[in-house]
Amino acid sequence: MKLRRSKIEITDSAEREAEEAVRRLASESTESGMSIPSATHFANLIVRTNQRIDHVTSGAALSISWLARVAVPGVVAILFFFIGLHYYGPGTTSRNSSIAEAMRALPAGVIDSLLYESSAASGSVAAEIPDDVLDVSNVQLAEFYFASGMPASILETLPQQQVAEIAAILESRSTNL
Amino acid sequence: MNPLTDLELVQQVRKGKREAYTELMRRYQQRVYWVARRIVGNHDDADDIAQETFVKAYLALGDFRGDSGFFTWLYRIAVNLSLNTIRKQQVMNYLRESPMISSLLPAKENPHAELEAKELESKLQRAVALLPEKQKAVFVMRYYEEMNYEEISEVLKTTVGGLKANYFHALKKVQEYLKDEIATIKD
Repeated sequence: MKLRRSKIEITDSAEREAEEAVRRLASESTESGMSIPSATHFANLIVRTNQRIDHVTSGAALSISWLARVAVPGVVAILFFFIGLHYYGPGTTSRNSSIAEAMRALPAGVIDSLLYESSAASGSVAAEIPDDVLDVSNVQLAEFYFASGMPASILETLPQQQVAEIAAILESRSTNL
Repeated sequence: MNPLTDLELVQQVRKGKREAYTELMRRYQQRVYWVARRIVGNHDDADDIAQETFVKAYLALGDFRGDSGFFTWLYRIAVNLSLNTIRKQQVMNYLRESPMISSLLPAKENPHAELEAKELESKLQRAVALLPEKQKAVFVMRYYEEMNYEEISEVLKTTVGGLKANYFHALKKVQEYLKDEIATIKD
């Protein structure tokens, strides 16, 4: 736990006193002090600093900095783009994978929705077929049975009234004979 | 003939005169070196920081608007680089203390080790080295460089009130440290 430091009134005179105390104590303590670099050192410092400035502003340094900041990240980005394109680009999966593999890769929810959608679609196709597509006239049916060598079957398709009329006609013809 | 002002020299550098920048370096290199040396506490790092300060300033000269003095601006770069160096030193010291990690680190090669040891003999320098980084920076600028609070405020971007408090606490800590050291010697 941190203890809150008691508030000290910092006046200019308090600061001056503390500073003088430090200077006095520093002179009292037997210290060797810091080693002072020679004038030659500072003359060399200018030369070395100028060399560093020349180096960082030279063409080589600029090109290295350009390489580090622009070229290398650019190449890496392009490389990643092509790698991504190779694995995830359009057309590559359909060429290399079967439909079954593709279906297996789909989540269960997507498959359910596909099944539901397909059943709804087939219902809609049936709805487009007209209701009277199987309605065939008796004459058409009779022609079909005659053509297929099944005249007896004609009677089954004819209404009771027509059957009776045909029977009456045939009976009268036989009595006339 | 009057010597050119800092701002005039900066304008000449912007026009491509490198000699003008050499003149600026000549004017301020020693002060930059010493502020760095007092903050980081050794010659090698201070030397490197002094060079780095002038290189950074040269590259950023286009951004210098002249709102503050050139030296204040230069000082800010030097103090920030010095504080960064201290932080790196602290991390390295922490890592070196761990036996597992220290075995992986290269052995510390320091041709100026003797010089540093000598510097650490300076009790005042040792006391300064123990200060937190903000107090250390304020102490160096105020105690050694005798800068006023407004100048320090521009360098550290801190309020004058905060700086006064930092300096006072730093003075008290250094005072206590020196008292203890002297008492130990006398005993």
